Amino acid sequence: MERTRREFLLSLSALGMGAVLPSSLLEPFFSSPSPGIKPLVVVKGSSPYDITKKAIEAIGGIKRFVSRNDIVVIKPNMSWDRLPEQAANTNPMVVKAVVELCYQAGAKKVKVFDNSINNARRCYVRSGIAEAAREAGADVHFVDRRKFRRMKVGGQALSEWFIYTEAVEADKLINIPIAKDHSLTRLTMGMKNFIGFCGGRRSRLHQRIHQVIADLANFFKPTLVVLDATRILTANGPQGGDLSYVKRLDMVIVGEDQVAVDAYGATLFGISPGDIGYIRIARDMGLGVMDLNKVPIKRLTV
Amino acid sequence: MKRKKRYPGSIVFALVFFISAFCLGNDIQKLLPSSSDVFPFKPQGKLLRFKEEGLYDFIDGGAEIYFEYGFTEALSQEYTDGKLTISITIYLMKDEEAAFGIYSANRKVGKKRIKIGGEGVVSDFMLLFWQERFYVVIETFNPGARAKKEMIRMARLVSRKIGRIGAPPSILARLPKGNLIPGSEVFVRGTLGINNQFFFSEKDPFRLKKMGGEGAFADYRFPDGDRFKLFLVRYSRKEDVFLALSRLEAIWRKQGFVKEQKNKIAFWRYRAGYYLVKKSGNFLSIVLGALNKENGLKIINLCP
Repeated sequence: MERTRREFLLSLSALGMGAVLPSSLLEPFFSSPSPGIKPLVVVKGSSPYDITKKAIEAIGGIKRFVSRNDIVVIKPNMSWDRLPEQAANTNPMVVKAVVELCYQAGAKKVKVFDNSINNARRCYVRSGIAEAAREAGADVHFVDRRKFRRMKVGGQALSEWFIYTEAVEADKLINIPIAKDHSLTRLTMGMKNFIGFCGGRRSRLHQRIHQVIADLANFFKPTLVVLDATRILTANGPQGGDLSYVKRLDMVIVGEDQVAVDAYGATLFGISPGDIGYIRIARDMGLGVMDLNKVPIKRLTV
Repeated sequence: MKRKKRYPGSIVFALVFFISAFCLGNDIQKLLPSSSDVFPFKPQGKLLRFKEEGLYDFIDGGAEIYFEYGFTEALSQEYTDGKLTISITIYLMKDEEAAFGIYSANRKVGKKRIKIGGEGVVSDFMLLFWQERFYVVIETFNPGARAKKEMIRMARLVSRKIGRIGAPPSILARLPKGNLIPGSEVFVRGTLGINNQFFFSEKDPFRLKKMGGEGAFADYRFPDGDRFKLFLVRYSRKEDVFLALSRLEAIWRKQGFVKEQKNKIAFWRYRAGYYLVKKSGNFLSIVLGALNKENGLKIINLCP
């Protein structure tokens, strides 16, 4: 049976509470396509853990985004059998900081997973994310193939696809990508990170990849995006491997507007946001603001 | 009667096809070092094999550029001696040019080059080389002097098994040599290869794949600090040069490039850079972003 993400969640609510929640209660997660201008926070400093906590504090604190008893899904990029210094996966300390904050806000459970490209066990361990997230109390588990369900994405290129059910069942979704080069899409940051929630033959997603990414961003609409730019991969992405491709920026960018976050990320590579197809399309779809001149940016150093 | 005559031919053809495919598969596997070759290392974990679209399962979106060059099969095996782990991945590409192409797209200028196969580069975590139809990636997660030495030893073993070296794409010989940064040459066959070197537009003006063209990028450096890329394109038909050029001009105009001069060589300005374009026979030469017009002119005048 094909269902939209909203229908899916509403039906779960109905099953759980015997009544269908008013859709307005779901609005923080399923915001309207005209989000208005939302600020970005950019924090620099040598400790990925400290700058992440500082950035979330500066954007208003985690309690703005996570409520008591929430089930939170954190989506890092954990796709590659690579060490943290190779900058192919999200920095584990960034993930750890967010998991801790979610629990401090009263989250019931924080789940961390990714549909890894390389062997999942190796990716989880080598990236350092599994250990760091577990230390902070997260439920880190491997993707279970049986939990992909065909859902109505309702996009222009992706009308329906196999989506990981746990990703849509969560009360809050925090996207924690790494900023890196990508041979197919030029860059991968926040919006592209949702491909990691997709099953099926991913090669089919590559045919209109920029529109597919924008469709997925519209479908998932994360509560918060924490872009890890502590180290960025400047070439040979997405898999990378050589340290000469890695540039240390010691920075995280945090925002609610996923288009603005990716737009800012593009500038770290000297690329105009409008030159990245999916950023432009997402802007055109009303998912956020691409013009950084219109976005209030708070810059801090720790 | 006719049917009877057809059967033996079809069967022989099918047998030849399957036997060839089987032998080829086995041959690639034979390129991997055996336990005795790499003692005290021994294979760890299972051999991973990815054929055609199966490459998506290995590197997902990263696979697309391999397909653009022409990919056939990849094998990956990890080796360990208990302290050090090294993995060898061998990509069998469609032809020698494809193998050089993907190698050139992945190596990085300034990395230490080593004489293995056609050419290789090595760093703490990785060793890459190309040879014949193969692109070989050797990696470790335990960097250090010993790891590097072992990676080189394994690379030489694979290289010896491949045997023949192969030739790089002939278009590289047409790149001007003076001021060229060694190791910056990149062979391209399509949009992804081009856009990974220099982003022209999502609407690819060159359409190399469709028109059967090929291209080469190289970086040039001058004593005054000027550094820019040259893109050299060769089509099989002269008409395609005109078509590509007219598409490129339309894109550049939209992007705000300003054409300053048009003789045999067209000069365009965009921000602080000069973009020079020359067409000659089947070739299209483009200087990308020279800060000093004369430097750009010097290079483009040496192009076909």
